[in-house]
Amino acid sequence: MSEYVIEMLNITKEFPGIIANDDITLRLKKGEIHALLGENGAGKSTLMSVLFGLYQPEKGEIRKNGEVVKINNPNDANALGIGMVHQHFKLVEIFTVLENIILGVEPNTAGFLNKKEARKKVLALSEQYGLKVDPDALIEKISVGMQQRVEILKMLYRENEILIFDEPTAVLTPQEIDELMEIMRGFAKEGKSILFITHKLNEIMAVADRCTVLRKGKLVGTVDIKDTNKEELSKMMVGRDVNFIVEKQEQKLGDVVLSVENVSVPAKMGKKDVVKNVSFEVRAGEIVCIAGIDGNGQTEFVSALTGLDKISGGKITLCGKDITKASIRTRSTSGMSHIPEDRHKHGLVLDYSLEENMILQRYFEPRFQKFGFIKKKEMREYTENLIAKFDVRSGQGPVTIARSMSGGNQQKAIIAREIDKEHELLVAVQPTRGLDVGAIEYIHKQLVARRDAGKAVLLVSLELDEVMNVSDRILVMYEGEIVGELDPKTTTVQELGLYMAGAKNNQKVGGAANE
Amino acid sequence: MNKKFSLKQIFDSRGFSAFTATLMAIIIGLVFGYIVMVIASPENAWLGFSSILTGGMKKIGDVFYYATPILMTGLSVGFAFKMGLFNIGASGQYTMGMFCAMYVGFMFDLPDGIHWIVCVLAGMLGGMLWGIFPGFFKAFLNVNEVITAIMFNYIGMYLVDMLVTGNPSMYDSVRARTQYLPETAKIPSLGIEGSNVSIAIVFGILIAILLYIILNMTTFGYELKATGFNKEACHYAGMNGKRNIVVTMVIAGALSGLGGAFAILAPTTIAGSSVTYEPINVIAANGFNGIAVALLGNSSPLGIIFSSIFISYIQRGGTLSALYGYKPEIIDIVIAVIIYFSSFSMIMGGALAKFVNRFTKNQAKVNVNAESPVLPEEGKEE
Ligand SMILES: Nc1ncnc2c1ncn2[C@@H]1O[C@H](COP(=O)(O)OP(=O)(O)OP(=O)(O)O)[C@@H](O)[C@H]1O
Ligand SMILES: [Mg+2]
Repeated sequence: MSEYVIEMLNITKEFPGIIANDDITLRLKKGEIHALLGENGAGKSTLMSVLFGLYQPEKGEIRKNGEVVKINNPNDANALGIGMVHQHFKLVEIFTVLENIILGVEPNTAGFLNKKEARKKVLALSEQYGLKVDPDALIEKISVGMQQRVEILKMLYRENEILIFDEPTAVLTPQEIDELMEIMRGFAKEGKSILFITHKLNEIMAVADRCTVLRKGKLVGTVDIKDTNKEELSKMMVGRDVNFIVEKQEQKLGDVVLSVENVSVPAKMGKKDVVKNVSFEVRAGEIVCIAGIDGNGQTEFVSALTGLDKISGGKITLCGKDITKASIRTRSTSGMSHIPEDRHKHGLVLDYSLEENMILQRYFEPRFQKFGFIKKKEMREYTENLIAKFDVRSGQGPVTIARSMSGGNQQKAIIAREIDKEHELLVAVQPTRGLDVGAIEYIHKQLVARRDAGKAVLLVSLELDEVMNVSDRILVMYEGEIVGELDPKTTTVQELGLYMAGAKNNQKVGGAANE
Repeated sequence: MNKKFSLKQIFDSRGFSAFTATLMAIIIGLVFGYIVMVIASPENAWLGFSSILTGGMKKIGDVFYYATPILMTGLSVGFAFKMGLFNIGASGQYTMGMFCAMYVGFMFDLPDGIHWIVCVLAGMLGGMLWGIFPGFFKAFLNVNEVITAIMFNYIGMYLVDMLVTGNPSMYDSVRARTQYLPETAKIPSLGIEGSNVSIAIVFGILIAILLYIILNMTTFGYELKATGFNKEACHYAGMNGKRNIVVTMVIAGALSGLGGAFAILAPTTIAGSSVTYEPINVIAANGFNGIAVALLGNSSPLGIIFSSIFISYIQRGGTLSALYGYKPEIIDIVIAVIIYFSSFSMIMGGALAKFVNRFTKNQAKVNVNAESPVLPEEGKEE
């Protein structure tokens, strides 16, 4: 028998305008955790989708235990014991957890659904691997972390032996990431083989045995993790040295751009406020970061600040103008740019082309329309310019449908649009989620460039590294309140962690931060 | 490159797959109709079927005449659908449009050449009025437009029947229908011998082209389609969703209202007579036919021009098959099957793509970056 459970040999897969996988060979050993690394749009998701039977390669073959197999669709993959957790989950929102897990392999007695047995099996699996889920909760009501556990249970329920994880950690909190790593190690110990896509080199160094690196659709090589380090990996992937330290000029503080006074935001359901009495200022030339564990009111606060949702009390001032009740459009034209947290829900019209998405915030400006007619030529030129500037990669350039772009490139497109738009304040929520290290370096540079150009930047991030490296001032949010204001130059990650966990507080309760 | 390559490119384009899917649906619908005919009466089946296929040719004027109102209601439904609104209220808007046009026709004495134009505009206003309600309720009270629109179909129909029967200068109680409209109120004929077709069909086509331009070249169309695709993103981009909903429904209402006006104001071949309306408490079928037309035309204004003419065409043929003893309802079955299958255009497109793959090694149309598989939605094709 072969040493490898899965061999993907000389795989080539083309899309209109681009070769997503060009002659790629990847071999997976039994019981190993094999990381797949590459820039945004390098072809990782595509390669995994070929293995999962979603795409048919133009060239190449797949072998399982040394024998050539043909995987025409996900059912074939499943029959071969291959399961996949997708970059963007594929769950039926209005079904329960249990229903989603058994979807397609429903146990039945004489054609009648036998949920009891399925429930027993699911509960046993969830117990065994520590994957806590509520089998009767609706998918649309549960957190992304739990949705992911559902996806994992789906694979276990089908008794898959080869598990593909496509960027599973991009949507998780640091705690959840640690748990996931633990679970993956457990799988490997049991003899399951794992393919793991991530942009976070720390995670690869922590769990992977080997790593295959792709660049622009081509194979760069496969390395043993014990013989390499972060710097080498990122160099392999980007083709140059990546600078993990963000360089900043001396700060030149200007006028107050954003002032938030005693803002409270009501919960979506119920009457309680999820953001309580928050006050702070952001001045021109500084990057203020709101740090905190996911779910402590950051999302709701940003929604209220940008006008997506209403506030229940307080006052917001932008460049001296009261925008507490202003429409989203007014806020935008008064100088607010917003990189939203959810790129598919808010950031993009996925069925529009890239160029149509690029003018989403500006189509009404005289530059892009005349007498209500969109200036297509201007739109095209503008998009081409942004594509070049921000290195947005896609199959067909401006006319690519946004849906077909790789996740990271979708994000880059949004960032390009929001940064290029006229603004005084940039609200960036998790701007680097799903981006490769090269792109992160670039985006961080852009954020700092905004600051140095005298703009105000409000960054909301869950990544401690990002918080510490990029910001000039850190505000920690805990249970809807600002509990700490810290200077990244004098604080440690440990101290920041204590504030985030609610164990420390250097603010007067309910008081304003900057008075 | 070689021939294969260009074939692959053609099959890749969305417009093409929507078109082939529709074509396949039509073929399946016709075959199905033929089978039903064979079962019903085998000996006449072929004659009956060929009259369905070719009957429209003999009555080309009528084809356009009957296509006119369903072109308008089809445009109405399709236009609203681009924004993600289901305008099932086309019937009510159509009836209101018809009534308002008729009212101006009977009650106002205007000079020749102006009268009918005012009638048409009145019809448009009537439809607009009936479009505002579902739009308003949806935008400001978040009431599903389907519910309001169905209610307004009934309100409109009963209201019109009441107003018509209560007005002796409009209603001929002996014959239980409206009086003949004055000559000045009728739309000029297109001049095709032996049919009622008027220049309204030309207006209809011009309006369709105008809608195409609005949808694809203007900022309003940009907002409208974006809303149909992703409401949340439009909210984020600061679009005025409420206003757009109302405006869209008003435009949709205007289109249906024009349909009603075009229908009632059509010139007749017999001098002195006119098209009449019977107030018998029935919801106008042309409104619902508009849904079928819009579906078959893939909600695209240009597609709807063809689908309305096509549906009218086989309907004419269907009436001719009565000569061989078939009920004209056979055509409703055929149309139903066609609509049914064209709604499956995704599967059809997929099946066809797979078929072509065998020869060109093309890829299946799935995408891993989307949260759901890419369907060739009704929305995007031109
Ligand atoms: N269904 C599709 N149709 C057309 N092009 C596609 C499709 N899927 C992917 N592509 C293109 O193939 C390339 C590789 O995409 P892929 O999703 O594999 O990248 P990735 O390595 O997963 O990137 P990311 O880290 O951003 O997720 C991209 O340029 C993308 O635009
Ligand atoms: Mg990917």
